[in-house]
Amino acid sequence: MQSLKKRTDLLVEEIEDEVVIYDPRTHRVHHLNPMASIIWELFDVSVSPQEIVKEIVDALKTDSSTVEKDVQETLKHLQERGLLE
Amino acid sequence: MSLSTARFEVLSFPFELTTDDKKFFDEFMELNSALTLPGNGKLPQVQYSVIKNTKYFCIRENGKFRNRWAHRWPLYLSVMMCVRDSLYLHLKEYLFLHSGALAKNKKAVLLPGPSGSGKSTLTLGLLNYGYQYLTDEVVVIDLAGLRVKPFQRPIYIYGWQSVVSAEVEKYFKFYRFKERYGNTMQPWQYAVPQREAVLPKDTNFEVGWIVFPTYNETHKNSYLKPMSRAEALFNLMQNGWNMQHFNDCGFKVCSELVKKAECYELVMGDLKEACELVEGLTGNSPVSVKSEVLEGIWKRKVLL
Repeated sequence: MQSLKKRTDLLVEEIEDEVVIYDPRTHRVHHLNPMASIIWELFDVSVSPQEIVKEIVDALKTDSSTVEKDVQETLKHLQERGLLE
Repeated sequence: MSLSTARFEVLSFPFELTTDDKKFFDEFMELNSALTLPGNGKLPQVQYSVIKNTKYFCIRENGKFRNRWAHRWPLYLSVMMCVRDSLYLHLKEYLFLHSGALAKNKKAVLLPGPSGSGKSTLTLGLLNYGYQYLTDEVVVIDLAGLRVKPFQRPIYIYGWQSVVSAEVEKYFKFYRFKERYGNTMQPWQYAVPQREAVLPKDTNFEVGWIVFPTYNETHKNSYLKPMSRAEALFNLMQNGWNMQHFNDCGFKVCSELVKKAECYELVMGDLKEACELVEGLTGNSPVSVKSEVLEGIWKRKVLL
């Protein structure tokens, strides 16, 4: 998972804390809920899933196991939908 | 065999229609008078023909078979659907959305949704509240200014009920007919804008509201729910007719539209209530509408 990156050809709109992604290869549109949008924004080559979890837990003062599950599931969904490479 | 031929334009797209059925020809002209202009000398880009054999009316596009019908009524819609498909293919300056639209005070309300979501009935119902009719099915967004252009095709709805007040009936002519679906004959009607309701072809409107209607026959009441602009963008993208021709441009256009507009979901059980909710969004003083006009609409099951 750590070697994955966001695809650079995607069109991304961040509107009011939510992210919508247009995939020009498949012409499909993806709507991320607020938590998935945070994870998307934090996901970068320099940030591992563990760091994403830590950032969210620190910011939201919430349970790390729930966040860890959210991050794993979100990254899995993003990967399955071909938004990461 | 005597053939009638005429040339038309829709959104500057020239086409030609030839038929051997005079009644179809006359009624096609009448039903589409608000949408089409007479051809202005440009060569037609597409030629359609409707020729009757012993059993069917056959629709051809540039000589290629497209569809056939045993009766005239579905023909009008079917031919215009062929024209509509050609518009999507040939006109690159417009984004077409599967949506109804009305205008008030120079701003448009879009009602995007798939077939069966109730947008045509809602469009018709809202005419009672002083809205101008733009379209019930094909919203035309001019990419140059992101404004809505009228596409005043006949409103096509299920049932023979009168959805509009006597005042609105002055501006629309209703054609009621039955059409076979499976083993049953079902009532349908076209509401055709008359001269007083026809907007000049160069009219355009800024999008003020985007309301996604959903007809739910299990609901007694109607309610509005604010929709996030991100969700509205996602939903709007699902309702593009020609989105595939635009790639990223279509996404950017839809994104701009939702950022400019107020976005809502409208769950509809009762039509009058749904119309009043939409009317309330415009912030204007409500128009008094005789309740009996809209009562009892949708108290039936659509067998499609």
